[in-house]
Amino acid sequence: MTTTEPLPDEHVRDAAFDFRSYANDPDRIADFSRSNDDVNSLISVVEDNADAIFTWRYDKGERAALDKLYEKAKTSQWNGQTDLDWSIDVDPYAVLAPADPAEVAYFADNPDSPLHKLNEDEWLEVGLESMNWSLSQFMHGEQGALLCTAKIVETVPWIDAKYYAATQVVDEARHVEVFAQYLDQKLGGVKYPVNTHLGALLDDILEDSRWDMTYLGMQIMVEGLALAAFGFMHQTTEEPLLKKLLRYVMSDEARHVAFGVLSLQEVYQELTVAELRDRQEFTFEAALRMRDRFMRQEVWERMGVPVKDMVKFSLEMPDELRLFQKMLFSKIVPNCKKLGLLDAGDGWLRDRFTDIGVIEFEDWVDTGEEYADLDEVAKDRELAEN
Amino acid sequence: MTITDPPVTDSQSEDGGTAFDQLIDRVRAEFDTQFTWDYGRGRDGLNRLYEKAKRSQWNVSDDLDWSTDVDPERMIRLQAEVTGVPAGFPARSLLDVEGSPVASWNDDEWVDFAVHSQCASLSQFLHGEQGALLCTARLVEAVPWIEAKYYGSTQVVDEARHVEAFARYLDEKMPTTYPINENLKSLLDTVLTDDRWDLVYLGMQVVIEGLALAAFGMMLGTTQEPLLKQMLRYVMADEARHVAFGILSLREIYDDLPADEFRLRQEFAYEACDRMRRRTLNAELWPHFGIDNADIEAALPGREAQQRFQHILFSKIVPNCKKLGLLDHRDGWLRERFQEMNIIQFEDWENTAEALNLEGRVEDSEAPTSFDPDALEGVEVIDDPIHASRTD
Repeated sequence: MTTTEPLPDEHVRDAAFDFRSYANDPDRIADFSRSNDDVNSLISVVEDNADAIFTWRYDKGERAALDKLYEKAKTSQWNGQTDLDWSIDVDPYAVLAPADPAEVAYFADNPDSPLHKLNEDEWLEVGLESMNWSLSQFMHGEQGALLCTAKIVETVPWIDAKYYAATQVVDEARHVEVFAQYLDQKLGGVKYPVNTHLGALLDDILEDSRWDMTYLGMQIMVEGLALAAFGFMHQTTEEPLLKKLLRYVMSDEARHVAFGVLSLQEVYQELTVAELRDRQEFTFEAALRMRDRFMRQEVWERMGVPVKDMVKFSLEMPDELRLFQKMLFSKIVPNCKKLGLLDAGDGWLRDRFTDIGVIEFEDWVDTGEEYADLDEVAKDRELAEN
Repeated sequence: MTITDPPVTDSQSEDGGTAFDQLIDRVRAEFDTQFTWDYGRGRDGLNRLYEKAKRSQWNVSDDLDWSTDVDPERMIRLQAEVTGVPAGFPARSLLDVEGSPVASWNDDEWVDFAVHSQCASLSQFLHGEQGALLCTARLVEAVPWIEAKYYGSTQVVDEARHVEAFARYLDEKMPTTYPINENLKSLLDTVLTDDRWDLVYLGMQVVIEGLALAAFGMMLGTTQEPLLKQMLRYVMADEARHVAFGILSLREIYDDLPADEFRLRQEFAYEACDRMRRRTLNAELWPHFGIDNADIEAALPGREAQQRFQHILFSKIVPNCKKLGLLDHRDGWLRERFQEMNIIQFEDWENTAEALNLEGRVEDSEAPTSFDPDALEGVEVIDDPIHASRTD
């Protein structure tokens, strides 16, 4: 896999470094945005450098919040085969979200836009490709989550966390299963290999020997962004099978993010300012990678649209149109605040989130507690019983 | 939870010293995590096992009756009365050994010993299940097949449930918990540190889980305590799937393995069995009674009672090694080793999850019975005692 290095190490500690320009530099993003050129390999290997940890302290419930989460997870399991109606016929065009008219106008009507000359059919193709691309990336991300969560089971020293994480492993397998099946049966198969930014982030998380980094990278960043992205797609698509699939996946994801918040809160209280700064930098790098991955470079490449021009034009989009890009951070930012990462040290991460224009979400609801409200599986079962 | 002796850690923990650190144990794992980009589900046996596992989940908090009162001493006495096997068997056979440190023990002392022996067995089940939890998580990371990742994930949650069940039983119903047996720990460490993922399967799914199934079966076949019986039945129903997972996966790999590689697997299986044999001497138990393990090691392995007990414990491993072709490869090298260990007679035993006693299989109408991973190629045959017994 081609990996990318979004933030040169030497600049991270340089007080005068202009992070805002760096983050929004279209040349950098386009350069680092090569699509995954390794489409033939069926396997990708990452070294796992972690210690597996046995704990001899078996007292369940010592961490009451994690214990509660475990019990919740046990009773909210669902089955990708029997709880979704796979007999539903899906018209791929009907899956498409009606795009935000203002955003479409920005790309369609502006003579500088690389998409200016697209005709009606080509616009539909952009929609189809984007949907396949999004769901493919969700699926690859879920596999990354499966591997990362298995790693957490091995590396976390608390029995309550091992118990809970075990339920998450099976959640993640279910998510890979349903996205793979949806792509295969309803959208003509997986067209896109893992995005380079997402792949590189997953590799980093898996290679790191510090177990809290697996939590931070996976539970807070990747899952936090997924939760927001699923929510966006769930709100906009009218296709009933996908809508229910997303609703159920999101119920699980809300627990996953809560698991990260609840566990890291305890760990981060004990860390020094320097150790916290490491986590802040990791968070910012991950945030950039996640944001850059959503520029859909592979879709433009496939459609013959110049990628660099597209990245540049997307970055110039007026702030009020960037609803989707910003919303992706609506879970990550409040969760980072709850963990104390925003303001640790001299508030370095707050400055960076300001640079990329997402700090406005800091006081949105965090995910430490909201998982119970988001349990759609339990709600459906209650309805069915009454 | 009471722990009889503070567990010894191998002190790799860097900051060491605090009570918390002494309660964890690190094993350096050097292995590769593998993503697969082939999401097609072509392995039907594993697919069926995954679907079965999804529907056979149970919940320790709700599906077991934790209000059951357990009196460990009464449990031991009742068991001896019903089975006719005296408390403290097979160690009790040391009564006949001249100069044995237990020669003067009376029946009450044997009952006390048997209670602790039950604690020691349950403790090893508990620690073994935690080992299984870590090993299975590792398999999910390392195995390159999507079907095995899917199924393996259900096993991770099974193993967590087993740790939870045994830990709770020991904590709420039994007087004490023993630390992990060193032979079991060293085998778990070997399995966790090896970079060949098929050896994780062989060590964990075939040897450790196979031995556990037989040990659970023996306990199920002898105990009269209803909560423990129910718990063991449920755990064994899961374990039967786990062994099937190992067989289905390894058969595919071992079909294509070069002869020298296959020979290494035979040796690994033998060494794993040998270590498991030594674990049955219960080295963690004797010092609690002021008895030197050296005295036990000198006298117990030669007793016929101990040997019969040990042999039954291998009744699940031997037929599974045969199914994998490990017995007869290379002029039957492993067959000869198993003959030396006196356990070859189990090679054609079929049932994976059944109640056992020293004579072999026990009639137990509620126990999970006929289970054959071969049959998974065609139809679903795994019994589901949990849901079956619920409809009664």
